[in-house]
Amino acid sequence: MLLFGVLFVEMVCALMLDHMCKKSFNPIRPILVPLVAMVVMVSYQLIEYEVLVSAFQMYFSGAFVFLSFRLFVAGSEICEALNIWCFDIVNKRKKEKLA
Amino acid sequence: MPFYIDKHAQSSLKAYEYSGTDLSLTYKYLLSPWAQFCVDHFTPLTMAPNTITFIGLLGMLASYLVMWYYCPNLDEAVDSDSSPPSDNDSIPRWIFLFNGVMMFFYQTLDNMDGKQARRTENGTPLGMLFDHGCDAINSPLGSACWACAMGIGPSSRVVMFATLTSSMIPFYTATWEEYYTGALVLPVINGPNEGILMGAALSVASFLWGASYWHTYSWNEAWLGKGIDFVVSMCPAQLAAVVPELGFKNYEILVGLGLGCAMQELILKSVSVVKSHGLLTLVNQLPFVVLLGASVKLFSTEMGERLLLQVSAKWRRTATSIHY
Repeated sequence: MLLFGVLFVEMVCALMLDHMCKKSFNPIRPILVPLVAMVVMVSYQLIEYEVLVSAFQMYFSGAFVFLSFRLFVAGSEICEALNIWCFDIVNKRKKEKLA
Repeated sequence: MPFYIDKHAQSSLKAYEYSGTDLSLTYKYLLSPWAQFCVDHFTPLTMAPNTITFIGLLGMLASYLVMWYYCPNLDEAVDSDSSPPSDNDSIPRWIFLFNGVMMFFYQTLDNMDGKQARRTENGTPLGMLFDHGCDAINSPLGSACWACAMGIGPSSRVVMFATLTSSMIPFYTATWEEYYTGALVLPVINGPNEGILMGAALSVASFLWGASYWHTYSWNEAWLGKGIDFVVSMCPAQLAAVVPELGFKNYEILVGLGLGCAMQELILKSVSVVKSHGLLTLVNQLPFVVLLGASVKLFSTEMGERLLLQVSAKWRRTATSIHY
């Protein structure tokens, strides 16, 4: 159920971000590939149960870490682009200059 | 070197202006004035709108963690082995009250952030993304809490899946519509307002009458009554066989209604967007369709069912080891 939620949040946030950035949304989500692969392997009995359990746990952990990192990076880049802080409206952000 | 926000995206972001309409009467006459009152009286001018949204999400996370701690399998609140199903006394009922309060708290803060942004003149595209991103995260968490308050677990996979998707379908459809039309239009009855209010009421009902209330047939007897017998007699035999002999349980009626509303929104919005922007727009619904289809397929196989039960058992063991 949580994996389902993680995958949902990833695609919805990508759709929202692409809408705001006027980019075209890519309907082929790489994060869904392991899920589809698992379904195919389970349907045609190409995978053993113990391997499936391990693969499922690794997939969930990987998807969670990927989503967290992606949200963090996207949020940071938007803050930088708009020159604002996410949780601070009192102190103004100074333009960062590359060394 | 930005990874997601390139030069073109930066200029689009700077020019972006949120366009949204909420047609809900509950929002207009009840929730919006209440949120405005809270902003005017309890919110310091130095507080960032995103902080308000984040505090609301933390409340929902706390509620979910409490639910998970006591009901890791989601169905522990109801002892379904007894006939009729009864409440499990080892699960404290205050967790449902806490969930109901947190849902209302989240909704209020979700309505407050936009008002605080306008008050402090700090409305940004980041705020919109942050607000809707938190709503997206809250969607599966809230659905899990509702399933828990009604005692729906892996043993009734179809209803559990329907509970989860009934909040996600309208959310994805609304975001997909906004992608093409540029405006987020919430209908007269919508998830962020009436949906969350009903979810909070559902949790409070579980607090007052116990989660086993949702496993009774009282709504079937009071509302559907003989009407359902008439409908069944008119249906083909295969369709009539789907209807249980005793009728529908309260939670089945509620989840069915929720899923019906979600499907209605999906169909209406899809038709409207396809009419105005063409058939190719449906391609962007593909990821969600794949997610739904793959999940249903995976957990309808024998191996997938075993996997779901084993993961649930693992959650239960983890929660129990923390408990003791």
